[in-house]
Amino acid sequence: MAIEDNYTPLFSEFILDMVKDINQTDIEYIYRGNVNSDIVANTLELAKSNLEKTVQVIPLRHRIYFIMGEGLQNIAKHQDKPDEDTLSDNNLIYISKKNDRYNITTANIIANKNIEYLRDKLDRINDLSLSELRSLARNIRKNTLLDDNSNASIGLVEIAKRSGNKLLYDFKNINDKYSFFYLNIEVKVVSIKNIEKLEQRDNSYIDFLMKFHDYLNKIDTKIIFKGDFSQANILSLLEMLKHQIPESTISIRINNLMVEMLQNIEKHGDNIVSNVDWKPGFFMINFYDKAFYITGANYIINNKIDKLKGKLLLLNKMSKNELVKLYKRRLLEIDSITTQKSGLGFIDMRRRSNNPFNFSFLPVDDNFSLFIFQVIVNS
Amino acid sequence: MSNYLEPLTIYETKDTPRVHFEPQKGLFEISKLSLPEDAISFYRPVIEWLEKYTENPNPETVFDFNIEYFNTASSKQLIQILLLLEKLNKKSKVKVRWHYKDIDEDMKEIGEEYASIINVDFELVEEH
Repeated sequence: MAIEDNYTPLFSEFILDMVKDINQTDIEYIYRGNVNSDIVANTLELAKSNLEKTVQVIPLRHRIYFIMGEGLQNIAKHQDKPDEDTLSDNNLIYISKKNDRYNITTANIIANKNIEYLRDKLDRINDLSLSELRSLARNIRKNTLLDDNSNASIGLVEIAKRSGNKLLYDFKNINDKYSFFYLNIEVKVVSIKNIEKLEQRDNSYIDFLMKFHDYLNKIDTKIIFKGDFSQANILSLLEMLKHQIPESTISIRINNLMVEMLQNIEKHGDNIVSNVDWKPGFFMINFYDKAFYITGANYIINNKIDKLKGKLLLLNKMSKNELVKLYKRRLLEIDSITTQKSGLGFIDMRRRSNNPFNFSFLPVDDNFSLFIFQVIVNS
Repeated sequence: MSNYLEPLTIYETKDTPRVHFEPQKGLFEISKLSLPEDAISFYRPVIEWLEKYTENPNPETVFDFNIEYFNTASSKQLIQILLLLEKLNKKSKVKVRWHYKDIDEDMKEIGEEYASIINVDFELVEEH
């Protein structure tokens, strides 16, 4: 993943890197902001629908879903509420599936005075073998009154046991009171029966995650989503955005733009793999230098490019008045009333954003290209 | 025997609006969100009901659009409803009330545009 020193919001290297491997087997999901039970519930909804698309074996799907649930609830259990509320805006949920591995990363605020206790607990868990973890989990369940924190412990023990992997973690100091607590769980997409002992893991991955988190903070990323743009997923993403931008003229505008952009990807995106029934896409929203950048990407058949390009260039040249006139005319066109193609999506987005579109077509092969599309909303 | 048309109530979902038409009480309202992927199918029964209502309407019809936000696929259907109301205006005194949140400038602007397209009594109602 490209993490640039000099970030340019218009199709940063980071975005180009992200979109280049959109496909039907891998997913990527990032939420950066305050984490509450609503966010956890919506993230799990998204995760569930993605698991159904990417993992065929049902018990395996359940196991991964369970680990995600525990992992996310863990944020709630271990997070401390800082005096400055804005610190929690940098909390992170990052879920990705690459090849046959699911990775679940969380970053949340913890009071420095609680670090040693948590570190000790995690080290003790990481020192255990798989069979020791199994018997510990059984014991904790039997004696839930053993210690006050048993609920939190059982979560981490169960995660370690079911992931079949050591837990990666680290702390990064923010100030004399608080730090970020990073936890990374990796789950191999194989049946639990095939896991005999815990894998050793490379600690350098957590260093990468910290740098990645810094970058996401720098470009004020709100959401990144790579996966299936089904209506259910679109609604979950909309719900999550509500928690990140306080309600205002701008937030409502962004909501509308998001709906149009995401439904556009779902409706007009082309499918690069013919035997899969969903179209992969990319979506990202971030804030940089007084503007929101809403970026989407999907595959497009090469012979459609010229027409789309012409349309977008034309819209980019239009004044507000011309756009309103065109919108009204299109609204009343009889032939498009009964078809799904209203022809209004791009006009609507161009009007609302009040900025020219930024777009590009990246060639993939003889038949397909990637269409990247960005709408800018000044705050 | 009343000759009122049977009321139409469609409950809202996460992405479709609440529709409540009850001529006997003089209630005609579309509210909440309208983001369906397939707006045509959703609005078909709504438009059919209104067409039937046009045959034998109340002397007055006050119609409330109280939608938080809608996608462009829905806007195409909403204009159909507005055009029907314009037709209805010949038989029933129609008043459209377009509600928008005070912070939602875009919804206000769209209301103003619809008002300029449709030839009926059209009131923009700011909500707080």
